[in-house]
Amino acid sequence: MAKKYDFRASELPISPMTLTTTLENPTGGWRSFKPVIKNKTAPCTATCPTKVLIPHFIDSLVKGDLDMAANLLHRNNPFPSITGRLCHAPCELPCNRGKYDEPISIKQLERFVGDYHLDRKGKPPRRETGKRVAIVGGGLAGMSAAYYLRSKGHEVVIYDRNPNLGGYLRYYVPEYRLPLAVLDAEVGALERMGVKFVLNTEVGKDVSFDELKEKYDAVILAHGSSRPYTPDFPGVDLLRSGWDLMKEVREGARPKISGRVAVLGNGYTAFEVARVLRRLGADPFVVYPTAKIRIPFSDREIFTLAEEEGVKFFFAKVPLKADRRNGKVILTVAEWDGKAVVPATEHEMEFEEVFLAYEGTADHGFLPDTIRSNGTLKADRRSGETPLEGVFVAGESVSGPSPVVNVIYSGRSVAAAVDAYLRGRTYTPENMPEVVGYERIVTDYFPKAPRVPEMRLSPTERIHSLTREEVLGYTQELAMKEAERCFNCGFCNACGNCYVFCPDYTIKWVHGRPKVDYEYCKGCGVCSEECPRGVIDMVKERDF
Amino acid sequence: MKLIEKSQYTVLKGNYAVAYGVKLARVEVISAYPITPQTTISEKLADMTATGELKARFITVESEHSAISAVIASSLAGARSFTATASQGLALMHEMLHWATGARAPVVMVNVNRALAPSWNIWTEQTDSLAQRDTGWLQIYNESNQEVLDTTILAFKIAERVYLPTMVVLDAFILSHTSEPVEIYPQELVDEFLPPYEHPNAINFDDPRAIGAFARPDYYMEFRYNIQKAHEEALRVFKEETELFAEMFGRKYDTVEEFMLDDADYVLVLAGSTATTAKYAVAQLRERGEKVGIMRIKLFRPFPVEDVRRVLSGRKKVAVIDRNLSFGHSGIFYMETKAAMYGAKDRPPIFGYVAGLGGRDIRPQDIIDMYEDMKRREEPENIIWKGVRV
Amino acid sequence: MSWAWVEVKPNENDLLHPGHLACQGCGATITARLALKVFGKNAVFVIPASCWSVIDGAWPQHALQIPVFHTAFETAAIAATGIRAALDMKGRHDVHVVAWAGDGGTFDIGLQALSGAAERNENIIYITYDNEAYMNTGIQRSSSTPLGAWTTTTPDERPEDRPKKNMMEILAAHRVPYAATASIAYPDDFIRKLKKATQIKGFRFIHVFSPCPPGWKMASNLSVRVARMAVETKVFPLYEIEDGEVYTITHWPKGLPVEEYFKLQGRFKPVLKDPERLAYVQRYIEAQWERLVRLHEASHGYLPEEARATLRSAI
Repeated sequence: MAKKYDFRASELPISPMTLTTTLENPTGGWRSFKPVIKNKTAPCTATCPTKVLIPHFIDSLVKGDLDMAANLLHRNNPFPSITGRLCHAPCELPCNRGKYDEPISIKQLERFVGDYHLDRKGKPPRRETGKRVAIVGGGLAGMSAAYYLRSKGHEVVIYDRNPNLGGYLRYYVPEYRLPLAVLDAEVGALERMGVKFVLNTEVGKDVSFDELKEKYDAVILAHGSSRPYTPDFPGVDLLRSGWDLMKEVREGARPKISGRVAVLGNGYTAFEVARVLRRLGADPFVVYPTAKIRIPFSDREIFTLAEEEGVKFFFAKVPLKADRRNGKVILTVAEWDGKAVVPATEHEMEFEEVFLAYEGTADHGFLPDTIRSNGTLKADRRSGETPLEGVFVAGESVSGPSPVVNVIYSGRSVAAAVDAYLRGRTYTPENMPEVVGYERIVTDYFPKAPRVPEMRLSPTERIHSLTREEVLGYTQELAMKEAERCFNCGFCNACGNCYVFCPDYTIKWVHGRPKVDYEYCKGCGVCSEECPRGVIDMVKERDF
Repeated sequence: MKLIEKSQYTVLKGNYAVAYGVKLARVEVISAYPITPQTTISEKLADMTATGELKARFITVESEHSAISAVIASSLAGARSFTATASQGLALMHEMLHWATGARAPVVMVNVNRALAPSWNIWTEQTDSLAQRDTGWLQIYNESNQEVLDTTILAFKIAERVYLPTMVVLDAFILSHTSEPVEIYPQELVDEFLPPYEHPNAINFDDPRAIGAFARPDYYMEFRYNIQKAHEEALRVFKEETELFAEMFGRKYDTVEEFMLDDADYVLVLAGSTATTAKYAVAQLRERGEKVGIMRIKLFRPFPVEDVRRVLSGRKKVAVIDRNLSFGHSGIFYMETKAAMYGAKDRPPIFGYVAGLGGRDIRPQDIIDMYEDMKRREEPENIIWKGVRV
Repeated sequence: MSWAWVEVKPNENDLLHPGHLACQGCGATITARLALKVFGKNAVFVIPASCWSVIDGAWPQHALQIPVFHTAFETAAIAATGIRAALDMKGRHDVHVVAWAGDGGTFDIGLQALSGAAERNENIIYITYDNEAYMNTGIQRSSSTPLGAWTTTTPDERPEDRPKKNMMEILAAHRVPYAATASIAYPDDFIRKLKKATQIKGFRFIHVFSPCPPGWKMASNLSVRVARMAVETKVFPLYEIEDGEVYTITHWPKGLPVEEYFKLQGRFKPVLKDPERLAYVQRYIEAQWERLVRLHEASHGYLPEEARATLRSAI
């Protein structure tokens, strides 16, 4: 209620001139709905397996604060330079901007920020907890877990049987797709953080699992799915290993292979082996068990690249038999309907060579029976907890072959569970606030603009090099231009609309952010309506 | 040499006397719209401001409504402000006359009394100003051009002491366009009498307020009470300031002027320039031994009830001669005089005469006729028409 | 970084206190807040009878932290003139005198005083916050009420059958140095025009489209959106006229169909139900727009690319 005065006539000014301000008239009581400023989840973040704070880091990028952008990015993804190259970018599918013109090129922005910050990151934690964690396997899952546990102040030791960290990324993924320099920089960052590496040491051989369990407060099993799967059909032993080929090529070998070659496989590795063969001068065919439209989204990008480069495909076909005749490999294949061989579809095909390039499986041989069952591990998918106290599992060793970003998330979530365990707390999985739909975006505030294309080599340029990186990404200028297209769904980027349009000046600007003054806010809802990105909700306070 | 001895003596029409009064008052903003018989005031002031003789902004507005609106605003923005009008123009201003009072803008306006249309008539009649009786303006009526100049200066002084708008009234043509000798006082002396204008509620950028904000019933009435109190105060201020004026300038005015009243049994009550005619007639009647005098009402608002009672109580008969008419009742001075006398001791019968509407001449003989008519009559009447062909 | 920040600085010249008496979502209040961003403390608002007579607060309170002079309905321009005259006499040339009137006080009852002040080229800024009817008295038609609109005096059975009075043309005919339209939905444009106006001497007129949720029968949160749609449908073009001669369109609209604007409001229900009438309104809007574009072309000698698109969509 407005303040009441009991003026006598003698106390009045000469004319009806006001004496005080309407601040004495708190109009908050007029309100039925109140605006609540609350960040929400953008569809991209919601879809990203590791929940990268995409609108947040893009906003920092737009504002020119690249370090802040990197910090925000690293919060949920320690290796943006890796995902910026290898991620299948599911985040871009539901991008609200895609419903307006074209989705934001999130992956390229991530790569830009990641690369910018690559040599700057890797600071030791401010405080040590004194707790010790062993990680078995220095692949992506182990590295991810190591990053987060170390940043929480725990002592982290990674055991790997190879001479260096990186696993599949280091020893198989070709240079043109992921330059070693990038991986080395990421490993270097872990080193700078103070993560310890015990290399050339295989757990179960050089050191026992029990010993680790004894010596450390917690053990994370991140040994991955590093054993190539080999199908079982007659003559399979006549075929060459695509995995070995990739490894050789990664190490610098350039074997001479030409003519029609076949690649048998069921995922990323098959496509990549075919591309390597193409670069070596062969004419590769991929024999793939499902129809073209059934290629999983995570393999679409690599499939497209392969197709562009002239790799050919036999879809929905499975090998039944292999033979060697006149120096050629005769492969008998049949159509596959997804469950069984289609009768009377067997036929022979002739190749110079046939490569096996099936996805890997995990080798849990070094582990006790208590946490194994039928070749898989008994572990919670998210926290990685196993029946053994203090033993956790992360990455492909529990999930099987997975996209890089899922592996990173596994490392991150298991690290959170381990951290909780070490601190004697209960692990609670992260909660996602409400997702912002397209209908909440006020597109009037965003002029239409096409997606900024990243720099790439042409297919012809690509097949002539096994080392030249095929995707070159953005320059800073291009990155800024693309970043400005982002709606920043559900993320208050302090655009000021609510403040500018509030008819009551009850949205105050405090420390660079909007703040509602509920004492006076009449609840008109203009701020909510004009928030371009759905951050302000009108919450019912009382009935009319 | 005393300052007053530096006065200029000249012959001026009434409207020019107004202009010189305005100039001496150092008015800063003037706004006016042409209307006969006021126009020559604006013309003279336009000249004065154009030559720089008077340092003021002259706003040549598009209507009287705008003229008064402009000066109310300028007055509340801290500038001494003046406008002039007549008849239709005054009627058009009506809304803003209330506004000036409510906003307590001490503007001074000269109204040259002129009859209202239709029929079109540009000659003198007091109904235009008297019809604005309830707007809260002070109203001061004048008999001569000198008095017009003096009253213009006095009006600013009084208005700015009580923060009420003030109307100075003179008769069309009889004063406005008729030349009389006028003493124009030295500026320094007027400056001494009339200090620079200040308004405590004027627009102030260092202490921003809303002027004239709407008030709910819980406060409105107190503001109206204060306006009434200011009118009561104005009566005292009028007396003080006319005393001071007399001291400084040598001319004495009062709320009512008493003429040959010492031993008078009969009193003629009137206002404006007709008083001069009446004085001539009364002098003749006195020569014939008639005990008659005149009470000329100068201050109409606030109405000088005490003075009117003091003057009229105990007389045998009183005749009020109105050059105006409130249709359906009577002449307005008559109405006011009668109301003032209600409850007074020794109240004489009061006769209401209506004469000279639309500028018809009121000659000395007409005054004598009305006097004799009054003497003959036993019972007072509200309206006794003089000179109308029935 | 939003476009709004280009011209509006946070916490600068926030001279409207909350607690004022405007309805929820009041466009006229947004207009005032934005204007004060430019004027700062160096302005006095002259407010004739209008919504703003109430919005500023009941005595003893006021919301605007600048001097305010309330005046009668038809006197905004002349009261501003009077104040200007007084301030000039007092040597206060550093402050702006702003007549702050609604559409009724500008298009109708205040037109005489406005014309007088405009013709004399009084050194004042006249801002009309246009909500297209007499809102303070309860939604009666004014000469600013647009074609097809409902008001309490143009009921659904007989909606407004005359187009909105073209005030800008009236001002242009007075050859005032500056006249502009603006909209609360385009604060950058509005503020740029205000800044331009403050740098010009003489009579300056800004016609601001200020939606009224109760009067337009719409939800209070739609104020800004509806203002935006008015511009984008060419119902309320954003332009300026210099010296009564040079026309410049300052925002090229998307040229959306007028239904996009109408359907947000209840007051256009009768016209939305009547396809013939709607087509007539659309044709009228196109003709007015075409005329404006031609004036822009005549003033500048060419049309930008985006202009042609708006004309093509007219067909």
